[in-house]
Amino acid sequence: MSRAFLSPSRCDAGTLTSPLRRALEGANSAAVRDLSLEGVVEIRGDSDLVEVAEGEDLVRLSPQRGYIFTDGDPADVAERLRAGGVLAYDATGALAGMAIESEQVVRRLTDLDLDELPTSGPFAHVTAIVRRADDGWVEVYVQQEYGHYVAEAVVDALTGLDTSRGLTRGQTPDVSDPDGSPA
Amino acid sequence: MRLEPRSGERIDRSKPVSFSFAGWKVAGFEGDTLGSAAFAAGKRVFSRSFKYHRPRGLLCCSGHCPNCLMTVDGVPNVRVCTEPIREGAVVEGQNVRWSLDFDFMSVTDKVGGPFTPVGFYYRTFIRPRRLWPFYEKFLRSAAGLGELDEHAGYSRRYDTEHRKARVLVVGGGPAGRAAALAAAASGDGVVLVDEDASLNGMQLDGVEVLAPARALGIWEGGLVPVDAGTVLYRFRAARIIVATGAIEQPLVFPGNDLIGVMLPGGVRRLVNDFSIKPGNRAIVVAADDEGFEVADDLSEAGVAVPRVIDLRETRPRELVAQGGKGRVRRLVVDGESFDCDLLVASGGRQPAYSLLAQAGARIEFDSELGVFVPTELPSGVEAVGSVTGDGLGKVDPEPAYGGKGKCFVCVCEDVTTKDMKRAIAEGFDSIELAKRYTTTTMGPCQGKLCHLPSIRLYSKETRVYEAAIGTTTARPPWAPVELGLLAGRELTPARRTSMHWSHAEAGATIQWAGPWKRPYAYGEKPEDEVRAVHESLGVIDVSTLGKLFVEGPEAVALLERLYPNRFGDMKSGRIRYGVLTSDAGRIMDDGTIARLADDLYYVTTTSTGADAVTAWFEWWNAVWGYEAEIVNVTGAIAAVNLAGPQSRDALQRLTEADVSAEAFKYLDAQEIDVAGVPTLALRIGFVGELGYELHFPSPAGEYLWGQLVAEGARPFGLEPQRILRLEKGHVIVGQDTDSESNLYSAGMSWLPKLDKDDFVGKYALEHFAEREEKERLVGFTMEEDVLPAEGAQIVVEGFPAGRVTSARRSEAVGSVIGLAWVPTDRAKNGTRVEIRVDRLLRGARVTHGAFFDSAGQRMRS
Amino acid sequence: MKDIFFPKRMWRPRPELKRSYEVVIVGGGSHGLATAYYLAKRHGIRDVCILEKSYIGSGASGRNTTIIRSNYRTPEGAAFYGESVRLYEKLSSELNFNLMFSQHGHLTLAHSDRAMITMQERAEVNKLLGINSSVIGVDRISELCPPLDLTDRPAYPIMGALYHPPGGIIRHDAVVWGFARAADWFGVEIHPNTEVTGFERSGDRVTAVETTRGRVECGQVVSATAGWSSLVGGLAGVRLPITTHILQAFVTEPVKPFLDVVIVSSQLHVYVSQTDRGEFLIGAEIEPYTTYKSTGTLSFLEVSAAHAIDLFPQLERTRVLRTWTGLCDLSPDYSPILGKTEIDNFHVSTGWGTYGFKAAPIVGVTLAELVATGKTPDLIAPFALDRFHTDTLVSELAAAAVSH
Ligand SMILES: Cc1cc2nc3c(=O)[nH]c(=O)nc-3n(C[C@H](O)[C@H](O)[C@H](O)COP(=O)(O)OP(=O)(O)OC[C@H]3O[C@@H](n4cnc5c(N)ncnc54)[C@H](O)[C@@H]3O)c2cc1C
Ligand code: FES
Repeated sequence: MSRAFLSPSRCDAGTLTSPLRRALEGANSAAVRDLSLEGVVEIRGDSDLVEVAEGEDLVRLSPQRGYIFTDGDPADVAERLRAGGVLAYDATGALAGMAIESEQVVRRLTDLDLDELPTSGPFAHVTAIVRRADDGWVEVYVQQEYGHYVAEAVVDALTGLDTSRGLTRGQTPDVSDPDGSPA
Repeated sequence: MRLEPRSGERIDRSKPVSFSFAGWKVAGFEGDTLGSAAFAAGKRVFSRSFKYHRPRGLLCCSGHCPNCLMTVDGVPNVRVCTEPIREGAVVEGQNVRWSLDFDFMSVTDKVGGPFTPVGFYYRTFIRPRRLWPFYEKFLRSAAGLGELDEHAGYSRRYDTEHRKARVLVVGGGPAGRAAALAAAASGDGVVLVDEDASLNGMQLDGVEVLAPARALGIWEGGLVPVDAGTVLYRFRAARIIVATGAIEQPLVFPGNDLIGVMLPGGVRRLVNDFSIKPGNRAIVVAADDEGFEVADDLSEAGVAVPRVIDLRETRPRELVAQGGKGRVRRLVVDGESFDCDLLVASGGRQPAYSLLAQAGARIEFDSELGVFVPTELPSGVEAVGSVTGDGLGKVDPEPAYGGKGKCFVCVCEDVTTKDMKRAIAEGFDSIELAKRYTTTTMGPCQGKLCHLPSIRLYSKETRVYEAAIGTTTARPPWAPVELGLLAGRELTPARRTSMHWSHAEAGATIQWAGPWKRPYAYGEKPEDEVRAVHESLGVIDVSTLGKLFVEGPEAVALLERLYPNRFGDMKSGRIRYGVLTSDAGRIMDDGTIARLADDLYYVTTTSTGADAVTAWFEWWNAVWGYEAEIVNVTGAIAAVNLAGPQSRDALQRLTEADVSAEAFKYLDAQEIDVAGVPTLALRIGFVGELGYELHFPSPAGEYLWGQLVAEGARPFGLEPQRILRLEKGHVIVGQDTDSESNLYSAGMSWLPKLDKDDFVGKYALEHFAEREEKERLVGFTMEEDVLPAEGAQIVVEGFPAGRVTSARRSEAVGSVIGLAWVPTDRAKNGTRVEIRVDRLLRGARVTHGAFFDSAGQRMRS
Repeated sequence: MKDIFFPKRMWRPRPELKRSYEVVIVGGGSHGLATAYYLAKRHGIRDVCILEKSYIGSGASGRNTTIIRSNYRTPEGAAFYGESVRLYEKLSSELNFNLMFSQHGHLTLAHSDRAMITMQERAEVNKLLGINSSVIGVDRISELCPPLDLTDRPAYPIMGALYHPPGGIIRHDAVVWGFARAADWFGVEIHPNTEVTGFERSGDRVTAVETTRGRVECGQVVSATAGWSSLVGGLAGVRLPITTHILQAFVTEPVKPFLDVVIVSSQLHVYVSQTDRGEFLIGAEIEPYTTYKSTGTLSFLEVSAAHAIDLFPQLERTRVLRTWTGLCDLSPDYSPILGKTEIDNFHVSTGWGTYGFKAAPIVGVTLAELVATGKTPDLIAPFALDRFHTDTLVSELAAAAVSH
């Protein structure tokens, strides 16, 4: 038997829904973007055997474990990698992903070191893979079942920066500037 | 009274601000604190003390002491001496009956004297016992400081931000500033925090200054949470420089808590920062240089300073402050009397080492200086300035000066020298015991103003050197911090399946099921959903099941050793039920194992078990080193159970594969296309009817769910599923079993294959196989139509002898059925047991096997 | 009452250790002191010393959150703790020391169906054993504790509670001092700053105890060292199935009392009470790792604060004053290990996890009886160390999460 029942890419595009659809409805796309349906492949085995192709990015979590983020068809990528001697599984459906513009928002939800990306660890209390995109945005991937919750937290953190949330103490450092890290 | 405008003052006289203080309208300026403005307006009574309700006024003006704790806009225990002024604020006294100036409870100060010595409550109100609740009620009504608004709600005004710093400097005094600048010279990433609001806006080259921002502690890994009001900065710093300075210590003498007795630093703040003339005639008593600088400031501000007493030169035996209406009027030194309305008194400064102590530094008494200093700093933590003891002169005041009147060691808790002496005399002769008995150092300032004085006094009384006494443990946080700030943003992770919104939109009642949000039922009547499954067609979202791939040449060997079951003989395309046991032979989890190919298995676990089972598999595999990979694909795959007599027809309509009874048998696994979606179909029957578990890519969840519903499948939720499985006598691990249940006691003795080589828990299972279990898990049928609560007890001779774990009313069976643990001697089929339901004992019959379709024809059909 | 006016020593200073004692008790916490007291009081055995490495009550006895209750899950546990609560009720007058036992009731909240089942089970077991305990709904909860947030705003709304009217809180130090004073009165010697460093054995018996202040010979030994039990057991050559974890707690600044009952939420891992001084006393579950090191964590504060606010949103602006940690000695089935060991005259009281303070009087009574008569009282027979060999555990596990 194959593992096709893992692969959204083997379904009609029209049959697929992002786990973040409701949470990001109406969110400012200049601040956060949904990446959930973009291809991801989970790798098991010697990741040195992995040949990374154009449009692919390998994130190693351990010598035996990693993820490939791909622009191509993840099911095909998985087949190619298997042929190359590692076990690979289409993980597109497993992860919900979002790209976030503001580092400050990210820092309000995780204590991961943003100077050391990619990395993996807790984000809004759930395990995440965090990487940096070419345009500098921070990409956060979590198990898709937590996706809605995490996206809600991100949207909430975004608005938290815009409004003062009823600040009362006089001279609190200004947190109202979404870009301004307090430096 | 305000002085003429002076250079360096913090107030902006062009911006008046007014607020209400204990019912009076008070005006101040921007830059004031609520406390400074009230003081400038002539207010002197700020609080009433904890025990004796003595009137108290400003003492330290730096946010340490308890004297200015007031309720501001409904928030109790705000230190108004540092709380920035704001228009319209409502500031009220607390712990008073009537008013700050006239408090009924202050009778305790007069008559209470002899009745409230330390330890009073331990020795009174003992008999008669039944009266204690009444006394207690009275005590409670007198306790506490501020009053909380019982109806205040969750404002969500707080947030947490994770920050990184190369160097974090705590404290913005001269030493801290110098250290920050020096650090900034060698690169960026330098942050300085200070709790003093007046440092807000301070410019330091290359240094980010945060103020008011208070470091709360230093935790492992250089973690320093910083309280910035509504944001908690969680700093991780490679280097932490503590420059928290030193805290002025009160002198201990009779009358030392009168209004008008102040610490030098507090007085200087009033004069220099807020341009207030704090009195007309001041006496200064101090034990170190710092203490005297205030005299110049006072003279300059036009306050007469007729007398300055240097305790290093004169060593008076008696020092008594006397007053009227709680305010200081004169100081009597060895019989000589000096009139004054301000008495500035200091017992020297104690390094503010709490952060360092909490970080792991050792605290030692420095007999040269007469104070405690930090030593042996942990790596990554440095100290500069007076927190190290640098620049402090030797101080050696009397631990307590003689004279008549109450002499406070601890103003927060109203502990007097008499209390301390008494505690020691009673045998509380270690500092920790004395502290607990008298509660000295346990008040709102956490000993910042009384730890050293307590130890000085204790040392004198017990004739043990300070150095031998040691300090009491420093307990974070450095200063009181709001619960809301620590709590931060409200974040409760919830797992939702990819079909969640289809359920929500269909009106399902959504409930927590472990970490998941799941439909309980779709309508008012779960029975209707049960009936649909029995009679026609139902569908339930089971995406929450844990799903694992176990793949590799040795996958089968791994599974054989993890489960008590056998898998080697299982063909590709077949499914088997499996139960995992712990090393101790206890039931851990259950699920199905499908063999998809020679070296590929698909394992399902319970909804809450996926993570634990994955970790369990990985742990053992790391021990054994099989060539097999374990991949948790729970989230990648959505799953539904399509069940009911019409399920085959419905499925056939959606697929081109042959799903006839012959081609797709019970316990078969096949990969098929369903409505164009690649699907792994497992023919199993948890709910007892013909049915298929369909596993497919998560993102297609909503789509496929819609297709199945369109084919006539009625959605059913968790509750109907619980009824259906109970009718089959199927056990829910974790509900019907607990951490002590094993396969034999749970009635699954057929499952373990003890002739297998080895597997986890085998040793224990062999032992269970031989011994007689005390209790057994069995089915039961109620004799009458009463529904026992889950948790109801099986009663034998009046004692609890077993328990009901599941019970439901079943239409299909026509009675109330359930599962229960019963004593082994009552576990035989047909035995009558008694269950306590609503205080009555009700009969039930033990029923082995399924309650419904016991031959299992329906699910095999 | 008259010692209010004239300070009187609570206990005598003991400058010297004697050469030998009939009974040596290791650990000057509530259990050790109670055992000494009942040995002297009920069995006339007064040649007893307590060896305490620091000051009395310096262990978990002086750090716990003092919740007293008896609504346990297993019949064995419920009967045992039930007896302890009955002893506590009379203890203030017996010791002539006000322990400030306030029995305002104890509510264990349920936020899930599963929790409701566990509560039901506990209530039913309790009722059959004569313990006042019942499952109540949201309406009744709001009468008993109006400030609780009973709406469905919190992430885990409250569905019901197990209500235990005799439950409450007590002054922990008073218990320690009350037992110490009474034991001292009978002639028991209390030796603070005396750490046990080893045992001399001859065959299956301990013959002498080595301490930092010298060696004493002993007739019998009781180890009541809770968090340090496996270390002390180890010195005697007894292996105990105990792991030691830290438990943390904190108090807030005092505010006028508005919470009389004790509120426990197992699911949120938090419990809240308000002391007679007006402080909120808030605690959580043990830290998952084992350690003897008493450094707390920030995440404990953050998580407990969040959960306390889930229950009581009014506490949002109340301030944390101080936090602390204490050691907890966990047994595999969350029931205590009490009584005999494989060494004839070496007895233990351990396995107290986060719930041992409430047991102090009954531990004292039963261990004293065991030491005096050589027979294990029925009430503690199920808690024998032996049960881990015979695999007859007494599992409180289902009720374990936050089970103070
Ligand atoms: C934060 C916290 C909250 C808790 N909350 C509750 C609660 O609400 N309700 C409840 O019932 N229980 C609670 N507990 C548990 C309870 O406090 C303990 O189970 C109980 O106090 C144990 O008492 P003990 O006398 O056996 O031990 P301890 O009080 O710990 O006494 C043991 C003593 O042995 C001494 N010792 C150790 N080694 C040696 C040695 N080698 N030589 C000499 N002396 C030694 C120690 O110094 C210590 O004083 C809590 C515990 C903690 C830590
Ligand atoms: S003066 Fe604040 S605790 Fe003693």
